Amino acid sequence: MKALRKLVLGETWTIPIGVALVLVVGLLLRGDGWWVGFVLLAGVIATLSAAVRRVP
Amino acid sequence: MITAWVLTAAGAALAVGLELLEALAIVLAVGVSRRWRDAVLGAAAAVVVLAVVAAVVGPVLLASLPLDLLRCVVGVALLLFGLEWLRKGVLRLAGRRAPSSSLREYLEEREAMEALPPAAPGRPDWPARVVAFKGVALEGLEVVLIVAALSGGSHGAAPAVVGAGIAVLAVGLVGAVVHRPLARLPESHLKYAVGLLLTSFGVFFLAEGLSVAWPGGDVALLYVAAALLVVSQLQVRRIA
Repeated sequence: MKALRKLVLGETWTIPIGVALVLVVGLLLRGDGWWVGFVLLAGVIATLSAAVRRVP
Repeated sequence: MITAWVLTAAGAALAVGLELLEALAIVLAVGVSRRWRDAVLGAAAAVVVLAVVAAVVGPVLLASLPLDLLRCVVGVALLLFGLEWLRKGVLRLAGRRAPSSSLREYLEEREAMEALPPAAPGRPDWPARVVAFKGVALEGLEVVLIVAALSGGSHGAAPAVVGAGIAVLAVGLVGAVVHRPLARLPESHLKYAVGLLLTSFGVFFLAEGLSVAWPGGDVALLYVAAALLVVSQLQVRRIA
C-alpha cells in the first residue's frame, strides 16, 4: 500500500495538496474566461516551486 | 491539431519506455541471478493483472464519465504524475538527487537476488517470482495510468497507444539484444522531459475540463510547456 500511495501521490504531500488547491481555484473560477487557464498554470508553477523547495 | 497528437504520442512513448526500462532491469536481474523461467512467470502474472486494471480503468471507468469530468480527472492525474516526475527531474539536474539509472537498479537487484539462498531444483523459486511480479506490476501500473490519462485527450486513445506501442517494441528489443539496461541513456534528462510533457497536458486538460478555451487552441500546449521549462530551469539553477 505504501508503494501504491507513493506511486499515485508521490514522495511529498506538497504536490497532492497543491494540485487539490489548483482544482478548487479552477472550480471557483470555472467559466470566467480564457485567463483562468493561466491562473491554473500559475498555481501549478507555485506547486512545483514549493515541492522543489522542500529538498529531502 | 497535429501538435497535440505528436506531443501525446511522444509523451506516452517516453513515459512508457522509461518505466518499462526499470521493469526490464528488475526482470533481467532476476533472470540472470536466479532462473529465467521464474522471472518470466512472475513478470507474466503481473502483465495479466495489469491487463485487467487497464480494462477497468480505460474502457469501463474513464469511458463512462462525461467529457468535462473526464478531462478534469485526467488533468488531475497527469498533474500528480507530471509534477512528481518534474520535481525529481529538477532535483536530479541540480545534483540534489542521484541520477536515474536502470543499469544501477539492475546491478543492485542482481546483487540482492544473488544473496538469497538458491531454490531447490525442480521447486518454484518464489522469491524470484515475487520480485519479478512486484517490479513489473508497480512500474506497469504507472504505465497503465499514464496511458489511460493521455487517452482522455481530444484525439482519443490512438496517439497514446501508438506511443506506448513504439516504447514496448523498443524496450523489448533492448531486452532481447543487449540483455541489460543501456548504460549511456540520459535517463535523468528524459524523465525531466516527460515531467514537462505530462504536467503541460495536465494543465491543458484540467483547464479544458473547466470550460476554458485556450488562446491558440492546441498551441497552448507549447506555451504552457515553454513556461514550465523556463520556471523549472530557474529552479535547477537556484538549488544547484
